[in-house]
Amino acid sequence: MFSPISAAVDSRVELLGTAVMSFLELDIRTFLKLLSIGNLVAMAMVFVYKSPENHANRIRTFVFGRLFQSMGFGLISLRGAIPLWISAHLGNPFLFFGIALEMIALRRLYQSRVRVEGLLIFWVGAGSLALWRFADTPALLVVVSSFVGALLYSSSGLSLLRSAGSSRLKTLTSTIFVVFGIILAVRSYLAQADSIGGTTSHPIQSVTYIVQFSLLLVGTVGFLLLMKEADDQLLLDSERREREERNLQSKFIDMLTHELRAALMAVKISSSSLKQQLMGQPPDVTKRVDNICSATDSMSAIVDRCREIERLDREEPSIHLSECNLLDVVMNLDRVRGPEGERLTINLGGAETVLADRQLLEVGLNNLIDNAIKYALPATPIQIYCTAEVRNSMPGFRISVENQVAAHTAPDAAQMFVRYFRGANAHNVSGTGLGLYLTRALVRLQGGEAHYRGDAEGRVIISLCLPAPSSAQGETA
Amino acid sequence: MNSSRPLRVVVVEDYGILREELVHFLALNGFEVAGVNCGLGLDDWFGSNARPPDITVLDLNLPGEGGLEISRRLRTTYPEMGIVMLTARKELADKLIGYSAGADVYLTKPVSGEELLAVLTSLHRRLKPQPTSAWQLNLARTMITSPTGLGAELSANECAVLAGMARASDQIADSTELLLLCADDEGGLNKGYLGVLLTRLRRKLAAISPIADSHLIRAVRRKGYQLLISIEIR
Repeated sequence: MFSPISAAVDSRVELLGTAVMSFLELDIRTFLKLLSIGNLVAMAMVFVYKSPENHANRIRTFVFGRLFQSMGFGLISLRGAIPLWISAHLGNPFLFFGIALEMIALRRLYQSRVRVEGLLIFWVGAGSLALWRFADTPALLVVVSSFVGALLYSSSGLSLLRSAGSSRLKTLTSTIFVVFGIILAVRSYLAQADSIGGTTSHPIQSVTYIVQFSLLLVGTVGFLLLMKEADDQLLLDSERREREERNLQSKFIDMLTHELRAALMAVKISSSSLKQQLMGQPPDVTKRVDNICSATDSMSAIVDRCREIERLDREEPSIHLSECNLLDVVMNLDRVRGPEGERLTINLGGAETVLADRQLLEVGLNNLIDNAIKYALPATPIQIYCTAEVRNSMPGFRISVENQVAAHTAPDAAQMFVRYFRGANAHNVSGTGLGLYLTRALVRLQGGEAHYRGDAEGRVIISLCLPAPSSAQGETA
Repeated sequence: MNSSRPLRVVVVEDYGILREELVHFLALNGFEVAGVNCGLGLDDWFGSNARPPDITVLDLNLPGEGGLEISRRLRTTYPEMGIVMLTARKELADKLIGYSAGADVYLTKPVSGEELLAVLTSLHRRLKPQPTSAWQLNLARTMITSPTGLGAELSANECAVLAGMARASDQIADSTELLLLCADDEGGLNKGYLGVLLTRLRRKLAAISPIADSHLIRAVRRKGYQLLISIEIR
């Protein structure tokens, strides 16, 4: 039965087939040249990639891989113009070696558990030997080279698929390699059946080189993306490790401060008992107990400071800004109400109000006064005063604590707020070198700044600048 | 310690040296004190003592049942008992949790013996007020009771004036201020009214006073009136 409709359909299918075949009839030699040039460009692209992590070895391996592939394609494209042993018997091993290097670079990038380096080098060596020994016709050359290519791509693809991580990009690249390995295997089979030479036009040749060209483009971009992905992953892993270490450190500090506070409390209570039991004893006996109390207080302050620093390092302090009356804050400070309070000359005006976190402001001011009490010359006054100041075009106040140290002993301004820095005159007093560092960090968290000024006469002034409420609130609004 | 019966305190602290020192220090200061190291130890103490402690000093990090759980349990069972939490946890959140779990006072380690002593004494004063020799003014019942136990009924304005003088500095209150405390029921609040009210008040107080012919309220020139007896307002 002859049907005019089916005849028309058949005719259209035939036309489409012819069009596809015509599209696939590529000039293989031109393609080979393009692949040679393309590999050089790809090599340059990868070469200029700046990796934040040290991928130097992988990049070098990949670049050499592309260079060898470029040389391989270049030599093969010169078939007929140069001797066959150079174009085919040298070009193909170059190509094998280049592909193997590219695969090794990728495997190392993803730290695949399956070590295929030895296997790939074996395929390259065995393939090259087979090529030199048996491939004495163009078809056999294609059979052997395609077969070696298939082994190289598929073993690398499978190795990558089994590597750790769940990157989609890695899965896609590996799958493409495996599929290309299959295409090359088909080419190897068809080359024998259809007597296909290296530059013979044939659909499988066209498919092979189109995929090869796509791999050149996609592979290079993919490699760069894979490196970027690996870098990102490394960064994430490093952040996670850092977080875990911080948590561990925090737990350790928690445990340490808890135990130390309990031990210090035992000492303090013992001192209180002793003080009562030694009542009536000569002053040089009771002084020993007073010294125990003072030393315990110093240790307690150090423990507290370490805890605050640790919280600061963990970026944990929560800030609750509110209007704080400076006079009210200062007059209620532990250091002002304490036994050394008599040495302080306070002149803060009346209604100066700053926008600050009261608790953090108290920690900062206590540290400043503590610092002044520790290092001021005996019997010299310590002054606390406040001046209005415009900072960054915003009104605010500068609260200063001024004291007198021995002439020419005022610390260097560059080191004053450095963590763990202790002045030359600090060996007689207990401390950690954390107080001023902590104070500046806390005042900065509140939108302020800490300053230090010392002169040759030994006058030392440390100031905290904080914004006035209306200005800071206006800015927020 | 001023009370006749020693204040009974139990210290719950797992750190042996600290517990020993606390017990020693409190005993030295006249407390009847016992130390236990955990919740089970506290239960044993309750089992072997008929009378509960007046105050429990409680650490939070304890083996087994935690200090917060113990506090909740004690607060439910012994609402009259004072609970002082003594812990190394200094964060505001921890303090709030401590208070919500029933603490009367939350102290952070290390605290000095003197401060602990002051806290325990103050807490005891609030929880178990000692009988005093002062006059008692009951505002709700509008009644004044003398130290001997005799009582007299007062009017609302007499109560207000008496309380006003008791609250004032040196117990001297300005006449105008005292008048402002009075309710204007009779439509004639003036110095004359205040004079009459104070005469009435003096008479009522004198009737129940343990000391005959004593001056209980006196006029202070250019200042007002001074109450010469100490009064506790309830």
